[in-house]
Amino acid sequence: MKIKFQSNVAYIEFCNEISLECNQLVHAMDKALSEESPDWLIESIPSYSTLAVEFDPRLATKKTVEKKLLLLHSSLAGFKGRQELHPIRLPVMYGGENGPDIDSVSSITGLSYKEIIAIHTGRVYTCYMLGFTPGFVYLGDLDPLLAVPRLDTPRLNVPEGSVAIAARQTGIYGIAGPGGWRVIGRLQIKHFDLKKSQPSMIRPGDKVAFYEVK
Amino acid sequence: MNEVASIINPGLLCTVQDFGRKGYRKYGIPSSGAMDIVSLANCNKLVGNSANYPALEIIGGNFAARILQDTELAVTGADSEITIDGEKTEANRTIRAKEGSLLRIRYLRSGMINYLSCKGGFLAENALGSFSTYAAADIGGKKVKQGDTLYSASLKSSEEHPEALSSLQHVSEFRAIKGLQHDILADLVAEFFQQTYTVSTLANRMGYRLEGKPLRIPLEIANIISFPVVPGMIQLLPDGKAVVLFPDCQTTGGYPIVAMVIQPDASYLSQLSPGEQLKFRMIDEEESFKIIRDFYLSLF
Repeated sequence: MKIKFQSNVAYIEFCNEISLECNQLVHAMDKALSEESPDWLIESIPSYSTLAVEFDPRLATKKTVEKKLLLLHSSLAGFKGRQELHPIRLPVMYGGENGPDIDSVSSITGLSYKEIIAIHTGRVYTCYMLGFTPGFVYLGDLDPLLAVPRLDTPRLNVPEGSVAIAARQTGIYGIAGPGGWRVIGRLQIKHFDLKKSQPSMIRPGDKVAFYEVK
Repeated sequence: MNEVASIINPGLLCTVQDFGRKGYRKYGIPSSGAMDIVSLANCNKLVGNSANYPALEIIGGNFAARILQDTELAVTGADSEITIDGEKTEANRTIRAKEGSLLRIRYLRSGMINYLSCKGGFLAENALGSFSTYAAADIGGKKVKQGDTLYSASLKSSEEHPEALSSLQHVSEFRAIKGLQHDILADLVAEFFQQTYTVSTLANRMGYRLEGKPLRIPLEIANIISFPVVPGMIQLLPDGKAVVLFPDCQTTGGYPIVAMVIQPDASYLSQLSPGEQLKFRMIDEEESFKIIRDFYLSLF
């Protein structure tokens, strides 16, 4: 674990890879920090392997922040990750106009629609982070059988709620917009709502599973 | 309702902004907020508002509005010609405008962005704790159009306030610290700080592209694992070009950060227009922390 500073933002780097184990540490640290909620905390932003912590420079020095972060980190020793019994289960309509790229996924992988859907719904995923555009959820790890490259030319307007795959990840678009992942289906519920004070149903670190609706 | 102004011409891009949205970047929502925080704070102070009240951010000048009530206004930011009913008035001071008068902001002598405050702040949608506009996803605030009527937010303001403040500082050398990935970028960091850059036409509220001699990044570090990025950070793209991030920037990025321009210099930098030249001056972490602390103390 390394702590670096960029002005009044502390960067806690837990590792240098995309791994569930490392990502769980990021979210555990984020949770510990928000529970402690020191007065100098402006906001924290978790990602794959790094937690960024913006703080109010009037209320804390870098030393104070570093000390607190090290203390919280030591309290995570032996941390085994969150053991959720129930993942958030999300209904998806696959293929057709909901999943226009399922054809190309089928031809790249040699799998039938039925097999693609069975593999995609057959796992519990972890939310590594949200980012890219508002409400875009990064989920991993996708079965290697479904690992496909991104589109050569990104789509200009992917509808909100679209479920897409790229490499070892699957993701959900929070708002309509451009995107280069292959869209295989669409959520049948609204998972991202700006009218709510907690806009995202899925938070970093959550467990998520998909099921098919027709 | 408390009508303040009717918009005759909003200019290139006119939005309501405050200090930005805090706490939602973990959901992929940018902070947004004013490009030039210093000028926003100043225009609010001149009408007795708190520094972070919602004001109009006017990019590219050529703004005109009919004032609908007697009120206090202030214009700060870019060096522009400001008139009330055709009579010249000054920036960076309190303007006591009469109902029915015509306010114009035009002819940008230098700078790109003006801020217009009214006593009590401009009313806009408060979304997720901020009045700031994130136009790309239609989150909060207000994108101002021709014919719009703007209302006062009627937030608590003070009768005692400065009559005038000093104008925007013009600098062409911006203070920056070494970026997050400076160790893997090695000599490219020194090259970056030696270069003179030109602001490209690819400049918006997400970021300003800088033109200069491309810094050739070794292929293995051109794409790194996505991590949180914040305004002020300067990304090196795979083609060797640099981009300074601004408040509407994406919340995470996978390009190495060569440097980070600190506040208040990031505010000054936002005022550069395409074609203008700039350089960065490296300062160390300790100095930068002192500057950012003083900046926060001066804002509130």
